[in-house]
Amino acid sequence: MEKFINAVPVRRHILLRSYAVRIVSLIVFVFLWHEAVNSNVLWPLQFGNLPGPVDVLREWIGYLTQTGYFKDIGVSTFRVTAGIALGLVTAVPLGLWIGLSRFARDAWFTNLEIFRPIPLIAYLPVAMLLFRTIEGSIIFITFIGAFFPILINVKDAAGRVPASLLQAASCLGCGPVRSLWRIYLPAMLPEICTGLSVGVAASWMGVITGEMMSGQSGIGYTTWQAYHLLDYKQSIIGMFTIGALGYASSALVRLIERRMVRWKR
Amino acid sequence: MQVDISGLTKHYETGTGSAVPVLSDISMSIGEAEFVCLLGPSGCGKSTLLKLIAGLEQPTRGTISFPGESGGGGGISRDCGFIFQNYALFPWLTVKENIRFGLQMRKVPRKRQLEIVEEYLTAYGLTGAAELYPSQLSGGMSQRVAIARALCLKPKLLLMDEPFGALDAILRLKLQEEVVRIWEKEKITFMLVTHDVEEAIYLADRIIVMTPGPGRISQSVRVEIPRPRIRTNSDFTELRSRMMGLLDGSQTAQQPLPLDLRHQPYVQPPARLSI
Ligand SMILES: Nc1ncnc2c1ncn2[C@@H]1O[C@H](COP(=O)(O)OP(=O)(O)OP(=O)(O)O)[C@@H](O)[C@H]1O
Ligand SMILES: [Mg+2]
Repeated sequence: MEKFINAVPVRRHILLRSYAVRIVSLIVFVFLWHEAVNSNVLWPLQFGNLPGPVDVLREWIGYLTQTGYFKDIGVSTFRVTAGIALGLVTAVPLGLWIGLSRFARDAWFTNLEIFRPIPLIAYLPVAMLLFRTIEGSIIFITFIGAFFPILINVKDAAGRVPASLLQAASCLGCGPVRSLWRIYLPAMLPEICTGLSVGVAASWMGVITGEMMSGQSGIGYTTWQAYHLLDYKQSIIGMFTIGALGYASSALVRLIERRMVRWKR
Repeated sequence: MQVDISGLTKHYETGTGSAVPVLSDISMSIGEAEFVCLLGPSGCGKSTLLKLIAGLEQPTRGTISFPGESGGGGGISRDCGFIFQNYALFPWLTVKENIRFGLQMRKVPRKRQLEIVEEYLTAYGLTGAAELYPSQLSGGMSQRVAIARALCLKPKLLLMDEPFGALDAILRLKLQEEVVRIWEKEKITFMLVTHDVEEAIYLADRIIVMTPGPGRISQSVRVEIPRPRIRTNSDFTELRSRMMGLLDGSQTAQQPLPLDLRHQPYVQPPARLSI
């Protein structure tokens, strides 16, 4: 009994310590960065070339009042969202088809397996040729990033939907077409979410490379452009912004997953 | 609903192209509102037989017909309910939505759907569990949901594939009693698969004993014991020892392994057995 009562403060203590460690480690990181820049360390890495954390932070706060910064974020986020939406509406049906039909597997999968290992950046030349606008080619890259992880997950999940659930549905009057909506889709939802979270990460990678290589807007473009304009503070701000966006979108996918797959305990 | 099965044979195609015989020349006839138990060792094709009757599989040879039913020849009969070995509840739907599924498929008006669901939730003591997901249910509750889901469509034939396989002994007894009560109330035909002689005697009007390799009917035993049946009464125990003898005899004739059903409790893979 006594043990049980003690359990709560002990747990809170552990939690507090864990937060303390996290904050301290962050402070240590910023401090090391500051020191490395300040004392002009040049070996083994040329930290002396970087702006210090205080300068970066001051500049960043300045950005928060400028529309250009948010426009960049908005443009890149739009491209990623569009790519993921396209990826979902194509990869889910196609993955389902490939997973269920031997013919579709033979017809599609070899071709797709050739394209899958190609890094996103290597699609860029072809994308530029295929699309009239740069916008189109960048969205194409984000689409490719989202497409394959979703496809692979859906294809595997389609084959794993328990036969007993399909038979139960059939006994209850659910025909083969309706079972796509009512059985396959919900049964595959956990795997679709897994594919989605991998796809979102790949899609961000794609948008940044696309913007850096060929874009005229977006957070990737600005980050790279700043380097050429010798505005290193902005480059670093861009870097951290990309990190924050990636983190936020994977948190969002996890949230959606938890909402939709509530039934999985 | 009556069921007439004649000359039913089922082969499964294997990956290599050869055909494995699973059921061979099964013929039987099941009467209106009869309670039939299929009894036999694992692998003798009991599940396959139920699936054939439900129209989930197609026979290789032979016919299944439902005399007196309109359009009584095979196919997925709208009038037959199926309780699967592991209940096959849809894990992404709540108890309420699971029960409602078949009503939605049948395009019952929405208001009527909800009324029927309420009625069955109450009748099966599931009101408190209406919003739970199958992973949150105990074995007994899952079973009741599966029964409610099938019966709310008013089937005339209920097929149950080892409905008590995954349950502990005490719950088993309770649910056997419940199934008999449901059968008496609904006045429809029940076919139930089991491994357990005692269970079959407790439930059935008639026990059909099957043997494997390929599956055949070896015996058909009528159970004349009046209900409610008491497991310790002499008529019950007598029939049980007679059945055991019968099974031992039939098994030694066709099966080299000593298959004494008394000492072979059916072991189900550890399914969702949360209590
Ligand atoms: N889809 C299938 N393809 C090939 N063989 C199958 C298939 N389904 C069942 N079988 C085979 O048919 C035989 C009978 O299977 P069935 O499931 O009907 O047996 P059962 O009597 O229900 O057994 P248990 O008591 O273990 O459930 C088994 O040997 C099994 O391997
Ligand atoms: Mg079986």
